[in-house]
Amino acid sequence: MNMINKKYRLLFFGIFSFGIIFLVSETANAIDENNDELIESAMNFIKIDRIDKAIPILEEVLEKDPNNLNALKNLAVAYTDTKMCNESIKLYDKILEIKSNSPEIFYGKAVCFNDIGEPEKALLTLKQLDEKFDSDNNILSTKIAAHILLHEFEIAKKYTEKILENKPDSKSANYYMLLLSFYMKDHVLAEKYLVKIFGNEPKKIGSSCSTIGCMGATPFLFPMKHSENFEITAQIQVRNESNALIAIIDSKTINYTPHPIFEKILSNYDTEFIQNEFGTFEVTKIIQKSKPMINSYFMDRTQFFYNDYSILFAYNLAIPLEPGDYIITEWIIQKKI
Amino acid sequence: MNTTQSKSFLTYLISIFSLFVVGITLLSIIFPALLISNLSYHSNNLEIFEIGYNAPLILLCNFIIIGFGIAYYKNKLPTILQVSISKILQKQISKKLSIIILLIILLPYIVLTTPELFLDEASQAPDYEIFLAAKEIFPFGKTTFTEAAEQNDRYVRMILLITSLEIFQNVKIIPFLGSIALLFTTYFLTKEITKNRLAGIISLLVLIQSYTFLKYDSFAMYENFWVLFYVLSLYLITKKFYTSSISYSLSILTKAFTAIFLPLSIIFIFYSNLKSKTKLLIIMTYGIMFGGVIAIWTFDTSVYDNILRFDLAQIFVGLTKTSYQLRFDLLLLASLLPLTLALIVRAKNGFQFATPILFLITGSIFAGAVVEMLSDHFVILPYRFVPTIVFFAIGVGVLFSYKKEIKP
Repeated sequence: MNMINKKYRLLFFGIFSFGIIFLVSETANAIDENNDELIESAMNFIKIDRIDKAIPILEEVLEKDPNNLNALKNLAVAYTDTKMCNESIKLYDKILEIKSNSPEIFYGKAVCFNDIGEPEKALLTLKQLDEKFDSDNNILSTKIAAHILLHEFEIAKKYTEKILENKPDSKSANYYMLLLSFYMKDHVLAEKYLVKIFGNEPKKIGSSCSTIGCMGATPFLFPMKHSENFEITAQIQVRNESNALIAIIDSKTINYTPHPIFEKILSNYDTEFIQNEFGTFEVTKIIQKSKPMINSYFMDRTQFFYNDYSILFAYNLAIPLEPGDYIITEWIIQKKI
Repeated sequence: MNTTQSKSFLTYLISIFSLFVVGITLLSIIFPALLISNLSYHSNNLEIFEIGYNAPLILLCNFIIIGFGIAYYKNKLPTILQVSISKILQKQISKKLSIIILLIILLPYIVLTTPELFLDEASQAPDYEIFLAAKEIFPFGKTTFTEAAEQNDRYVRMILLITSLEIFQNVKIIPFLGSIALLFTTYFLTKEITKNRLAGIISLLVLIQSYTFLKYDSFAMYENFWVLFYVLSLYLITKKFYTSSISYSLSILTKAFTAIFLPLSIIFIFYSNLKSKTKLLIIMTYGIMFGGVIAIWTFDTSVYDNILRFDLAQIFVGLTKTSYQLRFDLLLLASLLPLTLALIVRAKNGFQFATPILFLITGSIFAGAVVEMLSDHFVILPYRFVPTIVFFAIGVGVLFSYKKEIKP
């Protein structure tokens, strides 16, 4: 009797245990499947540039499954894309606790450190990578960005040249060279890369990049004061609709483009030659009359466009305007011969 | 030289300085091309004596106001007018009435300005992009973007703007509250100097009618925090002197421009009613505060030391620009010279605050010219004249001083 009871008990516990294991595993599978579905839907949002929709979904997955590597990685990238790098770095650290040897995580973390202006930490993070990644273009690009932030332009240039040796058409490396020419005030280098990137006939080039410091974008206009060949002055008259003189100002801050198109455009204007103790100069005078747009603050800039090219840009004018006011800008461009 | 003699000598120097600053500014209103054509490295064929568009109006107003002022001072006005003006100038109003008047002025101002808070700062001011870039790396992140680095050197401003953005999801709200606070501070400072509430209200009215003040009062990128903290530091000299330097340092850490205002503050302290030892103590706290600010900038490898130069001619260019940039502040332009003369007369007649107020008005104009002289990175911009307008408003209020003046 006892034997039978024992068998029944064993059988009962066996079935019960199996049932429990089955249920747990099914539940876990269901959660996993549900999480996978959620992650997939988040990824779909990311694909259509709706990161704002993807982030709460990934956060929801992590609430249920804090160690879900897939969700952690995607959320870290989503945070990076929405300029929330401080949050990304926390997630990258968590991933590295779970899986310490993840080169792509070190890379993402370094990119983030650059984004929040901590290039020293970016370089330290990259140092933890295996040497085999030293010549990886993404890693080199991140190092370039870090050294630019540290104002170590020569080192950045060396790394950029390394990328260009392997891949001369690398878009990012060419952009970096142009950016470096901007920071290194090397307008000869700038000319080379402006032509390489934009070709001989650039189209629709705006100027906002140079006026606001480029913000990591591509500079097309460069500060005239760093040019060895050109000296440019601009004087702006502000007049009202009755032609009465309101103001006359010189701009101290002028940008021009070292692209060859600049000289090509100048050749359309009359020039004269002057000689003084500093050498011989070819002088071009351009006079333009324009009605500046009335904005909410004050007129702070004037530009000279030729077809689609913004080739001259003077700013820091700071004159309040009212409708009807117009300006006459006189540019004098002296080229050393 | 005793204190009275020192004050007389200083008043004399400040009067000459003020007439120079105001003279150059007015000259450029009358002949906008005169100075620039002579000082510019850019040659032009302009008629240097071409009359500026504001010149006839400003000249006419100056003649009328100065003529009227002289007639009043010499008792040459008809008796009824003479007596009425004297009564207005010496009128005191009750606290209750002053609160009612303040509400009548401020409520419509707030109601009419509130819609501006819902304008998109990003589309209004390109500088908002710079602020956002700076916010990403605030406070000590590195960037090659000089303008963003400069924003981040303005710690107090960044904290206040970020707070406005984070709490109200609107970057303009705290700046607007700052502008309202500036109106109150101007009222209280004028009232404290003149011991006359009507004078405070007059100064508030002069400030609130200003084109430049109204233009930038709700702009986040051209906020008035720095002016508020600076004017507050002056008010605190008269109230809680030991906290004055804190407010001044907050002003500098909001906009480094006010560092140039140090001589103005020192003159204000020198002419205040405080005891000599207290004055010395305040100046010492100012010294410590300056040391602290410089230490912070050094620690943070500030951008300021990289953008200095020296070009003396730019002083004149800067003063010329003042006349252009205040072109819509007609009350100020029309009465700057008459007010300067009136304050010189009041100083001569023994009103102790006339000299420091005059120095605040003309010194704050000159500060812009100093910036032009020392940097080609920073230039004088219209909203940087808000302190001048505040001091001008206080100066007008000072004319409404009730206290009988005693010659020193």
